[in-house]
Amino acid sequence: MERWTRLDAGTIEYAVTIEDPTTWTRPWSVKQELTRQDEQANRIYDEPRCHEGNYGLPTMFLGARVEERAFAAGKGPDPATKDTATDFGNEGGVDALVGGG
Amino acid sequence: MANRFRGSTMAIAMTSAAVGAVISMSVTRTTGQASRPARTVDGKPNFSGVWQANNEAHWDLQAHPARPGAVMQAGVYPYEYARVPAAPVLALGAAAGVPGSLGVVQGDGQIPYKPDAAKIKAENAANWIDRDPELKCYLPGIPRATYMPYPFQIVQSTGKIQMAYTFAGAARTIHLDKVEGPPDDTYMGHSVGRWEGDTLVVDVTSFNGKNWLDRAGNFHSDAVHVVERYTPITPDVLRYEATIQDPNVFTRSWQIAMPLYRRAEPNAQIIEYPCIEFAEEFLYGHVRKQPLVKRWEGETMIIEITRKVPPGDRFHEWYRR
Repeated sequence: MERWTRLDAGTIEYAVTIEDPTTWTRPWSVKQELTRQDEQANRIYDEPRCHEGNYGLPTMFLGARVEERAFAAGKGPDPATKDTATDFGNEGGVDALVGGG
Repeated sequence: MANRFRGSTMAIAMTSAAVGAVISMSVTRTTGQASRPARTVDGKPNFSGVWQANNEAHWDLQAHPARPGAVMQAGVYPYEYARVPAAPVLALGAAAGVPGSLGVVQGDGQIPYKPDAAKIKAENAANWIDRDPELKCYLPGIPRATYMPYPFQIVQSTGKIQMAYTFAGAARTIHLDKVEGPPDDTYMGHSVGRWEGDTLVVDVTSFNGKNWLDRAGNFHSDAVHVVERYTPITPDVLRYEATIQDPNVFTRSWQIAMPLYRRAEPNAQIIEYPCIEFAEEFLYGHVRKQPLVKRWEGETMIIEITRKVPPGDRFHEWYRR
């Protein structure tokens, strides 16, 4: 349940209550004040979309495929055992395939 | 959401069944979105509501005959007319064809490409699946968003007019009031509007040049300047015109025109078409661990189709005897 309240000419209070008995033990609420932006500033047109020109996603997939091939060729570690959280080392993977590392 | 749909569907069914089509039409007009006043409080034509083009411009702005497939390939005989639907659409049979049209380009019906641009247009058409930004769910730009086969919603105020499009969740604000230029070029452009009598005139600039105009490969560059004109014909029909000027691509400015129709259903609303998710396999399938499309040549998918002959098909039953 959302409640939008105009506090003054430049401020809206946004209060939302979220209820889902299958997930939470009781309803919970968030309250946030929104400040009116300068209408002449035209920030709305930044088009902050992450879909067009998303080269990062296919490149990550491609990197994973390259690591799999390197492992299959005996040139790199098993990707399944790789520590992706803390190990940013250069062994194996792409480096192994391109002759680096 | 689901309940609301069920309720309104039942209401329509009961109305039609009980009182017939003529009366249900009048109910639509008095209770539906067409019941809004024809003019706003400031005396302008009231365009607020859900609208849709009803034509074939999204396939090709220019006049074209019906085609058997949206994607074609060489047939047995080396003639243009002997080409057959290509594998990606062949399995859809008659549902995959392209309806013909008299075209929406005004004057002689031709788009005045410069020679180099005409070559790019022809290449675009030949490589439709690889190149059309619509298939990738990219923001459609203006004017293409207007005549895609989906409804869009106009929310009209005195200083701003908001247009929300079904496809890709695209949206734009038309500034009737004073506003600074945009911080960057974009897919949807920068729209500045004014009223000329009952006509809403919108100047659209600052495009990034990545849009197409239809599925036939018609395109423009980032130098394009679109001038749109929305003129009421009746409260439920308006005339849409767009003048397209782009010195990089065209030898002169040219114009398209078409009616736009108000969606008259009492419960008309735009419903999300989250095509980013829909296009994921299309865009990224070639880097999947176990691709659903089995053959890729680089980033080109090679689709082989399997179609089972329906067991109940009489012709095939007869043929097997």
